[in-house]
Amino acid sequence: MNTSVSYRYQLASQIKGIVIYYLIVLCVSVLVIATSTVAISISSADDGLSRQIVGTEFATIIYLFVAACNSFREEFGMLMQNATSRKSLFIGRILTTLTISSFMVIMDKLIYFINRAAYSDDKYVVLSFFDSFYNTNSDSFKLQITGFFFHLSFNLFASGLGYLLTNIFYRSGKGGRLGICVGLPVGLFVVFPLVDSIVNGKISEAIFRGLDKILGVSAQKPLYGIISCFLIFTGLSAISWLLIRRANVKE
Amino acid sequence: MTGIEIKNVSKNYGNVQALSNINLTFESDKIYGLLGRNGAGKSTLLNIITSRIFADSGEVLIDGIPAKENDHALRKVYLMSEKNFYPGRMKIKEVFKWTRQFYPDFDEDYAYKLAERFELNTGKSVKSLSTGYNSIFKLIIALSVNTPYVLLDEPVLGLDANHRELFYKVLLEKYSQSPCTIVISTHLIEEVSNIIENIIIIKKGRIIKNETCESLLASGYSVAGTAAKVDAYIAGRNVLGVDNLGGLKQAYLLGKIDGELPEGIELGKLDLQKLFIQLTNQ
Repeated sequence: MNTSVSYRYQLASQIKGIVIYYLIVLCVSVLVIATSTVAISISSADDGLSRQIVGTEFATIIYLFVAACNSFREEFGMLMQNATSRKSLFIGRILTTLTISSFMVIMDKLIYFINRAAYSDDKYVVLSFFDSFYNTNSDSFKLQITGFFFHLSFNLFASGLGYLLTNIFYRSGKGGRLGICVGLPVGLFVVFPLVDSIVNGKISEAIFRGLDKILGVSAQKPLYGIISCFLIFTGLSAISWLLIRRANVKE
Repeated sequence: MTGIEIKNVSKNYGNVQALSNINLTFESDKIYGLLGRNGAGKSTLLNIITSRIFADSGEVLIDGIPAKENDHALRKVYLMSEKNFYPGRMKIKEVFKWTRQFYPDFDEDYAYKLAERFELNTGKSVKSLSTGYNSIFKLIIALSVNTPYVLLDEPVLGLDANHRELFYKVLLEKYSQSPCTIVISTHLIEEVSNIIENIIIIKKGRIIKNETCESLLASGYSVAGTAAKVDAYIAGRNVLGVDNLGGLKQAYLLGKIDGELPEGIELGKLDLQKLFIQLTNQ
């Protein structure tokens, strides 16, 4: 099978974007650190407030979602041109997602530690994405590992969702594409809030309760969140596979 | 090697039947011409062979192995298609590098030599190439890939006369050095008629002719002479087409020569293009 080369190709096609992303993240971090250092040094009075820097990893999750949304059409064409079956393409894609998601968790962790070192002042509290969910701010090894898998599971979920959307988009006709491009944002940002307000926010309340349960936030059980996100990623990937296995190259 | 066997392949696009129960074999080490009018089903057939699209029914075997979603079988075939599937931002040298990864027998040195002969700048990105050079870079890959089966869909699209001539020359050089099965799907029948050994004519998704170029050309003949003499000769015969040049005339006829040719009439070979037009217009 061409799985190995499919994996290498799909990985290589993502690397440039990731490098640019982390250069931007580093630049922004340096800028924010410099700004806050200056702000602290010129601030004479202690206002007694502590500032939180929370969940910079969320940017990575959004990046992975957007990158996945743009990663099917071109790669599918290139791999079909080069004698690669859809199965090899899909396995390569899953391996690429796992590699990139894990790598980005490690990079985010490094940035988190840099931020923590930079904001050693009491006026700032640096919380990771994981800490913000589960009220933990400890450096224990067990929590670091749990945090790693928690962030990884979210990265996988975002990638899986983006990849599924781009697959649905690819397989859809003109009507379907219009439905995704217009219907999705309109549904999410216009129809849903409208309907929700009519029923006094009961829908969003139910959604939040559901999310709370599956992520184990109130119960303070991160394992729930990890398992849920992994399961959702598996489900999304399975649907993507069903779409890919019958996908035709478009002339 | 048993070649590419296409068995009972059919394909519909909505209500349009693109291919209807195609049975065909591309034998090893032969050059085929796949001829047909626009929309006849040539590209659909080539895309099905390479699993880029799926047939509604039937199967394709490459050296006896089912080709559908089979990396091992697919690696034996390279399809140069009209549409470009290489990423636009990728440089030609990067395309060469990746092709080597997917097709281990891809001869990178030979590809660079051909790039020099065709004056292709390998530092350029795919999207910056003109239509002609887009065809050239794909042709270079096809000629360097060293797979047992090379399928060329409209290979000379956008190429000027000089590059077309160079391509046919290189193709024959390559074929004589390391024979492989080459399928050329084209509209430029005149140009390929000297290269192809076998002709497959496809019309509205059906194979209407599948024979050697020689036997197809032997199915008729041409006569030339003054208009009056030619007109007299062709009366009542199966005429494929006529060319007029001043007072002279050349007529293309189907069938065998019956009896002696009248004086002042010159015998010639059948014109493939005329035959093609006649067959596909019926």
